[in-house]
Amino acid sequence: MKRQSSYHQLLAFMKGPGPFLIPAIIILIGMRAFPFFWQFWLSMTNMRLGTTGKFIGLQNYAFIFRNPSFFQSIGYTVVFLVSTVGAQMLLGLALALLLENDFKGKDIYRIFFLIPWVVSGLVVGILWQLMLVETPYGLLNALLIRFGGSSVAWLSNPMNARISVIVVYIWKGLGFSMILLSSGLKTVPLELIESADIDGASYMQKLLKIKIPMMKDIISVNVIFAVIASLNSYETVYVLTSGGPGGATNLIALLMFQTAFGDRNQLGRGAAIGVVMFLINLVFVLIYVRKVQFGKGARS
Amino acid sequence: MSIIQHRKRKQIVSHLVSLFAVLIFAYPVVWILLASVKPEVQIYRYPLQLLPATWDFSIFQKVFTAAPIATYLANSLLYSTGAVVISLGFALCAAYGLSRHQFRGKQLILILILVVQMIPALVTVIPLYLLMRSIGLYDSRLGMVLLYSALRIPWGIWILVGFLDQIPMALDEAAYIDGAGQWTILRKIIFPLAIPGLASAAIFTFVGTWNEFAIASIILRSTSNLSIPVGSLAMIAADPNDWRLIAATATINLLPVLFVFSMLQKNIIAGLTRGAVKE
Repeated sequence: MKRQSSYHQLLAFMKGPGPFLIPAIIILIGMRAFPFFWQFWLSMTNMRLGTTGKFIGLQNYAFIFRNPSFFQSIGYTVVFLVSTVGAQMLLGLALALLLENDFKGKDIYRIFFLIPWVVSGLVVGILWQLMLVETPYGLLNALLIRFGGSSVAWLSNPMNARISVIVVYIWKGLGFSMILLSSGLKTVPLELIESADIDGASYMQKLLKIKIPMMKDIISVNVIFAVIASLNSYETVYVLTSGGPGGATNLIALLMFQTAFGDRNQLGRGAAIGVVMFLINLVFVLIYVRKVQFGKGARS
Repeated sequence: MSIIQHRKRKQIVSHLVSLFAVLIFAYPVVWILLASVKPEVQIYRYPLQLLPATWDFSIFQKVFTAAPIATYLANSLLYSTGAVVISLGFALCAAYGLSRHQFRGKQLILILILVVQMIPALVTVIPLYLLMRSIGLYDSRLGMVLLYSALRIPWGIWILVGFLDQIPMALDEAAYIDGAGQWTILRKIIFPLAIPGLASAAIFTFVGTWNEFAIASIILRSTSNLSIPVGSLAMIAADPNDWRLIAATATINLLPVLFVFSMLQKNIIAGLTRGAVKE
């Protein structure tokens, strides 16, 4: 009985959506899903380039979790995440509120605010390299010297480099937050604001008690997007500092690339870092999926 | 009177704050565009000056003769166009299957597609690298087109399902009654109506692929295969002290993207909101 009904289901599937879905699903399994599983396997081998590698259990994980450079990398990645995402939210909200005001030319301003987001991560790195470089020709140092200051080692002092990288990523991602939060502000019902006005609510009260609570969902979606973008940052910091000086700005994606494709080509150990990154990503993606699902009962 | 004054003041403050923000966001980008046409001396002597004293386009001649940058541009055009056509072709078919049919497991497939599209392919760069090597597509243009296309499919499906869901089923039914098969319905009814959605998805796929660096830097090796970002970095690394060369390279990377953005910024802003917020 059961077998026949599932056979009929299969038949219906092949006459219905099957032929449309199957090609895409095969590609997705091969190119997106299979690599996740392969990576788990690789992370338990001592594979290097040119060798097939053999199974070594959890030794790669044991190694990276005892390795100070891994902890340095994780530590900076966390600081980087919290500060880039936090600043993108706050400043993005400030810009979105600014564009809520009624003034001429705000559509043009909005386009300018979005430019850094359109520019590729590689060019952002090149651009800020020229801005921050330490010869007196670097734009920012030239500015400092012009106004009587002295040249600052923006990228070769570890603490400065950490801050510079964070600022550059805030610069790049801010426009995206602004757009999302702008559309969030538009969903706040006007009647609520008007009745608050009648009650004599101040600007801050309206913002904190009405607008932000009403935008809760869009803010959390925005945070998740920003976290995933920051967590997987690679090319801008690669061009700016290559993770230096002394590993001070070695974000986790950089560490994975260096381990796997650097001088020693430790693909297995790099895969272990990839698995760690995958799991952190997955946590945030699942939070998002739950939000989308419960937000509107998913798509049907 | 005081209300009008208040409003005026608010407008002026808005303009001032906006202009300050424009300075921060746009100045570096405009500066690098213009630095490429300044005489070298001027960059060093007056680094803050925005407009060139004399316009000098000779660096572009140097860039195009010194490096195969025309090849890089052609490659990037191939990778981006290929990714748009192939990934959206597969994605449209899959989105049709998901939007037009009810079947067991559909919800699960949608959720898995969402999960997969949100986890960046960068995380799996190591297995992807090994995969490309083992199927003989490492450092090949065909391989890069296929890889970019495959990586873009889940995002395309997710965006297009949203668009197709808004096309009324009554149109399909009318065509069905007239004797049209599924492929005819997809081609003649759904495809024309989905063009706005496809166009918006195409812009994002194109720009995203054009700008992609990390995966290409691992998969591509030969000079003749490099994409524009990877080739640019190789060029700069070969001559890291020539600021005009660096600025010119950045300009060549930037101009196509800024052009697309300025032409299509309304669609891009709308698509950005939709992609994240889901109608």
